[in-house]
Amino acid sequence: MGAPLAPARRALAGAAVCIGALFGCSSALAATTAPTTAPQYLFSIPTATGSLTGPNDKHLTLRLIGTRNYLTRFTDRPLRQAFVVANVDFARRFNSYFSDSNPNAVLTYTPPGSPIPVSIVLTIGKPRWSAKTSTWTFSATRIRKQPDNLPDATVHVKPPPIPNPHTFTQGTLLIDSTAVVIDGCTIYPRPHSTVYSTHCSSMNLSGADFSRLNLSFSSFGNSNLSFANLSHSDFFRAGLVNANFTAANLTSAGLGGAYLTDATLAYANLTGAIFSGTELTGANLTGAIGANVGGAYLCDTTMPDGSISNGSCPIPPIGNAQDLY
Amino acid sequence: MSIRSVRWQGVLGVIAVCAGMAFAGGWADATSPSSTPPQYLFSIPTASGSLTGSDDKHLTLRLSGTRNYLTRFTDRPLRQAFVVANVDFARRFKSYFASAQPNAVLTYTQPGSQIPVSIVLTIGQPSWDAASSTWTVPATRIRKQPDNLPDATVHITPPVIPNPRTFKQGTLFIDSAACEASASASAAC
Repeated sequence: MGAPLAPARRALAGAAVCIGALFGCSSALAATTAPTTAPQYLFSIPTATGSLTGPNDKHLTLRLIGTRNYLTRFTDRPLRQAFVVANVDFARRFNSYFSDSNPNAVLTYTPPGSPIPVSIVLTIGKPRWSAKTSTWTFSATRIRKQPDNLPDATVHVKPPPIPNPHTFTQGTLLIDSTAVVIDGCTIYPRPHSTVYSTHCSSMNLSGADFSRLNLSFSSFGNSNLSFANLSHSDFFRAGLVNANFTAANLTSAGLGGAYLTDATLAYANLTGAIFSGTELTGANLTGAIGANVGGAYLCDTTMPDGSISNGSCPIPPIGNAQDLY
Repeated sequence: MSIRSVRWQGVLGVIAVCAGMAFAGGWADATSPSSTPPQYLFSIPTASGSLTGSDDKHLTLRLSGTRNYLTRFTDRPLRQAFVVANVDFARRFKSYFASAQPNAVLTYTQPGSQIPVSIVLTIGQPSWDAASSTWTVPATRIRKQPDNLPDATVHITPPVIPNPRTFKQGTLFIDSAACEASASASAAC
């Protein structure tokens, strides 16, 4: 094969890296140490009495009257912890717990004459705690039940109509899980896609501890993560364009399929980090420790020794292609 | 058009398709609701029950006189709720909680008290007996501690709540489930 075909070889090499990005991601993900789960909390608020009133299901007010001045907070699995929390502290934390969206909740109480309690599902917001009247007040919208929609359901039960209770006694409100917030960055608990993931672009997160988190599909583009601890975290397909990881701890981090275009990784500890299919175009790895970027896409990439790697650069535009032969 | 230009276009075509797959994969995930497996929570009200055993690590929770269905609802940001047959929930439990057994909170009213109490448990594979309308669930107790967050302004000593040998009109809430076990299991999620 003569010299004129060299650009084609480079193109094919680029394609190979590209394909590697597609097929290497899952193995990279598997190879990375499984991140542990940051704590997520659920809450239980028992009450002596209460009411759920309003003109319709979209505009309701939930009142829990005669509660204790504390509630129960417990961790989502796999953690096993439970706490007693003052209502004033829960009320103050509510907005940060649920900054991304209001929580769903289930209210359970026993209707008059019924031996079995009922459960109704709500979305709640705007909590107010009155210590004087021992009353919680929430805005609420009702989520009406449907028959089981999963394909393997063997029985389809018609949901019984349950009116919004004007009053009830001895009820409990269970509030679903919180988000984890680190230095103002809300961590999405179980990311599935670029929509349902952590979005903390253009933030100053220098020195923050994001170790052992599942940050797949996240976006930290343009953020300052210098000196941050990101060890053992998974950044599968994360958007990290132009992020600053100077002197960050990325040991055993999973960067498979991540986009690190123009990112700064100078003097970062990359020992054991996975770079399978990682986009490193324009990235700066000067002085980085333990970098093994063999599976990454390199173009105008400053390597740890200061050299420039163009091993995976794109080929020239098609209009000029014939001129290269 | 020369053979060489055709070759070039072929190579570029492969790259374009490949790059499209690589970069569009994330976007496809972003825009397709079906790619977002919901997380579910569950509520099981019961007429009566008991929590018995030799110690907090070896408990059996019985929910007696429940309906033959329970409530399943989605974790935020989704807003859906469903009525689910107990037989289907019992069958799905293993796939829902393959990676770790769920925590749960049992709420009930102690005799002579106006306000219900909540106790926190980790529960195992439940068995459903339709004949007696009873759930039987292995459980361990998670005792409460004072609030450990650094911004807590009040530290309340948790009240001592014994394991209830019997209770009436309680509800078991089970924390979030994901479809984790296998491809066949996830097909049902």
